[in-house]
Amino acid sequence: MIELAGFLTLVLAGALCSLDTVSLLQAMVSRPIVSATIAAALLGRPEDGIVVGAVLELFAIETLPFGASRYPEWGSAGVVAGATYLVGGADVAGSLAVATLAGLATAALGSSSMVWHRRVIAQLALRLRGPLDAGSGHAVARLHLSGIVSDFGRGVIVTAVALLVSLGVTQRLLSAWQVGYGPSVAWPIVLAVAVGGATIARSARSAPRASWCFAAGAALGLGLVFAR
Amino acid sequence: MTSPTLPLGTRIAILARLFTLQGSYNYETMIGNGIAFAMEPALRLLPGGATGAAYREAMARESRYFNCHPYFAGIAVGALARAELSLEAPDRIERFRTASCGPLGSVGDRLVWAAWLPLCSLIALVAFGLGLGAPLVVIGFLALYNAGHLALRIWGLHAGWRDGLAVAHALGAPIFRTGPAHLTRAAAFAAGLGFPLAIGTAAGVTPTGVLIIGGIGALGALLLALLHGRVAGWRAAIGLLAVAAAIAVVVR
Repeated sequence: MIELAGFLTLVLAGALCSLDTVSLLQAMVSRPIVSATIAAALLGRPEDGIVVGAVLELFAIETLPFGASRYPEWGSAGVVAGATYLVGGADVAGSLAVATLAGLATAALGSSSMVWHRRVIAQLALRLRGPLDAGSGHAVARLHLSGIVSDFGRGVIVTAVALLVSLGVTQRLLSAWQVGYGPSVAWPIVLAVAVGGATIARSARSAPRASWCFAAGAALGLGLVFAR
Repeated sequence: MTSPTLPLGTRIAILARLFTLQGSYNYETMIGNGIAFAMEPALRLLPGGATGAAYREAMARESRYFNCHPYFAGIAVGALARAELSLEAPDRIERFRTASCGPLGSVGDRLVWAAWLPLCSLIALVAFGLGLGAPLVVIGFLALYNAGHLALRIWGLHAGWRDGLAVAHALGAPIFRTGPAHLTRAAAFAAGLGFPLAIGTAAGVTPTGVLIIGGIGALGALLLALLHGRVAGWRAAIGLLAVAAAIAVVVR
């Protein structure tokens, strides 16, 4: 189980990673392959965290942050998934499936919270309408910094709630898990490949000869798998 | 018409603020407030400084609705800062703001979100599948992605300031016209290479296991592709994983 200090560190990491999604930097620290590995590194096992991070990354390829569209928030999701996978145990049947489920559910929660957060900022902008229309630099800075600080708070809440739920049920779920290790690992990976593969198939239609490039890559990839 | 200059310190301050551009993103003014926040150090150079009427008028104008790709916003900020410091007519500035939203959004979306990000992500999956250590995969991904990210931000601000309201031609550069297709082909190759390798490493299975998982996954991908995006795969996966977990704890 995770101690309080470890929990708080994970919440801070989740909030910082989620801040990267929109408000600050957008350096893709929020991508699940990064955030899940960061969470696992904080718990001492980055090599385990990157496994669930890679699985979630295949889902994340489907959801790109286009404009004002509604998209999942992978920063906190990766942290929650990474922590859940480590608490469950990398060699435990069902652990990858439960961690992937925790990550996807957190991404959905984060998505809803971002919509809510944007409405809150719009409300604040409405309250500051007078000074903003008068060209107050202070009002612009206040609205901007309030947005960043409240987005950090949103990340704290999403990560903390998701971690509490996930860590609370993971051990119970896994202790009752009846399916063997192989099928339990395969199931989330099959879903991730299906979602990521469909995305690649769609995007390949937009570029001439992209399908051939995929086929060439697949031939090389399978060759390397069999050559190992 | 005066020809304004932008001191290096001001340029750096604007660039730093561009990294927080979407801090006040909302559904009313989108990134309008962020544009004003990023441009503010330049507007202090207007006659009368930060307390002058020109500064207030420019801040009011620039904090209104605006939307574009965040990495390409530097182009708009540079161009608008030059226009404001050149004391361009407000209606010309308004016209530029209205006209530039679409191109700066669509070019950025096609190049970055739809091509560069997936390519970097898939290269990271190839590295993971090849068994490179977690720190190397993560640092390599961040370094590769942000090399392009930083280059775009810096170039955008420079081009916007250099060309002012005539910056539109910069978006006609070959990299923006043909770049997305080249990157998509590279991403398709990386996907073909990375999927079997990543399956093997994540599942820890034999080559036959990779073929079975990859084959079933490919069938699922075909099904999703046939639905033409009517179903969000990641959302459907939540339900399917939840059902699988429920079965796994009940069925003996």
